[in-house]
Amino acid sequence: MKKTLKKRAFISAIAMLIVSAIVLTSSTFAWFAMATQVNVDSMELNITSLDGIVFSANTTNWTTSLTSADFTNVQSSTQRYGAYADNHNNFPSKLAPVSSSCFTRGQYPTFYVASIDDKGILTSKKFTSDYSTTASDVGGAFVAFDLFIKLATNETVTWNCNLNVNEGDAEDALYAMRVAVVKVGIVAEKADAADIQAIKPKENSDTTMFEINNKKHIATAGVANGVAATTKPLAAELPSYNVGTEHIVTYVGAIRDVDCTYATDTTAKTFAAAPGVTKIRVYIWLEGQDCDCESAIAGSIMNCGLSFSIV
Amino acid sequence: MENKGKSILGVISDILLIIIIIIAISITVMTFTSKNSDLGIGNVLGYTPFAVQSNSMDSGEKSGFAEGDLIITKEVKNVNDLKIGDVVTYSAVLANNEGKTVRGYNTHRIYDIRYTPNGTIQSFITMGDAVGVEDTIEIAPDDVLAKQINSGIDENGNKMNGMKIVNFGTALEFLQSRTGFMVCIIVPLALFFIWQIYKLIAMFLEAKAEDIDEETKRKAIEEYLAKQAEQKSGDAETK
Repeated sequence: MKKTLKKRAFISAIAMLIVSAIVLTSSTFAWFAMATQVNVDSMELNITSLDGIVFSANTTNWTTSLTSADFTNVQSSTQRYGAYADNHNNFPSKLAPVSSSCFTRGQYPTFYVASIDDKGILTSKKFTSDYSTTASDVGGAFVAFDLFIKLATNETVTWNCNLNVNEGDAEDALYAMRVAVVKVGIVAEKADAADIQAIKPKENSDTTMFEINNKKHIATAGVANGVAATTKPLAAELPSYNVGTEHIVTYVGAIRDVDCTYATDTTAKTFAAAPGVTKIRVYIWLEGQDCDCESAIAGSIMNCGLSFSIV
Repeated sequence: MENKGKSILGVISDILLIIIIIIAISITVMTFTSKNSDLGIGNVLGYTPFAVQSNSMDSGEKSGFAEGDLIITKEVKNVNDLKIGDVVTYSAVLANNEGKTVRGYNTHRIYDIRYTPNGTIQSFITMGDAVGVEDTIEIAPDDVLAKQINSGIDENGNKMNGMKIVNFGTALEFLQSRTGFMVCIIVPLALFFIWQIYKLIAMFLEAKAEDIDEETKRKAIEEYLAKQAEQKSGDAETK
């Protein structure tokens, strides 16, 4: 009898030990699983809808507000609003001067990065925003991302943009910033990367480039306020640099006119959208050809608020 | 008296241990289900508690709730079942303490529902009971995660009292934090595990000591009986 009782006591003690080991192990595992990684971006982007328009970064899950984290994370079971797999969204750690005229007839815009060496030789590198080539815009010093808007009827969508920096040193750079919204076309819901990236913009008029504060200039620009600055600076407004025998401002290979719909603070920024899912591609960059262009924005976080509403 | 005290202490510690184990299992289940959930929120049998972070729903009425409270919600499987007056938890972009905008959860009451021309829900317009003004950003159907149990408007037009536990939100938040979970769950469980090992070893040693004791006693008895037998036979020879 005594032996039986002892045996039972042993079995009970071993069972309690096993139970406590299981609970402790799973709790400790859960404790490790609690830690989440957070992406820290150089740009804080907020996209909001003012009329219940729904957006997506992946054509599957729809919401009325998105942040830069949604575009830099890939959609998964824990990243419901993340970008579609194999996307070409680009959020560089540093924005550097680039230039684009936003020509989008049958193609995505091309961006140029230019520099002058000690001998005065101008060199430039081209970033082609074409998913199918190796010279894609991923890796360039400008922001680019795909955004999808879902509508039930034909609508004219209007958008607006607020830009500011969180530290004063780079505030002047705002005067040379550009935001472009390229209306690309209709895609299916829950589309994959191949279908999403196969369509291209059709007309230049489907692209709107917005220049913030285009008639206000920084002191070091040497240009009076009230004179509009565009992607192609006027020769009389800029200090000149010699490139061989040519002044840089007349080096036409590096400068183009704005080749899309151009918008300022006072002009409406709109595009027409059909029922269904419309893909737009958004670019945000520091325009190197702007007389207000400062050197790269480093060490500051730029805040960009994009809002969309229906006219 | 001492034994009585020990047994009361034993009962209290057993009860505390059971509570800790239940909480540990619940939080562990919630952590694992959140990792596999499409919505990123954990649940136990479909129910999710949320700790309230602000007073936007504290209108002073019983139907509201305040910062630090715990509300009990159930996952919304079909947004078409939602009605004006329901209190829903949804994914939203909010400003954190450092002024950065991050994705989080917010809980407000449905004030109105916007429909598309073909009759499907386009968005929900929400409002905090204490705010009194509609929220600027409307909520997409995909953003809605859960509904507070028993919330809504009754047939008389009065707000119903949704399920909540007053002031328990702060405690649960602490328990769900890495520090709180470590201090209140993992450390006691680890101590209990070590205590169980100690008890098992002590039982084993005690049983072994008892066996040795039994063996010694048995040998002593055998020797005594053998001596007795020897003496008896010696006496018989002498006679």
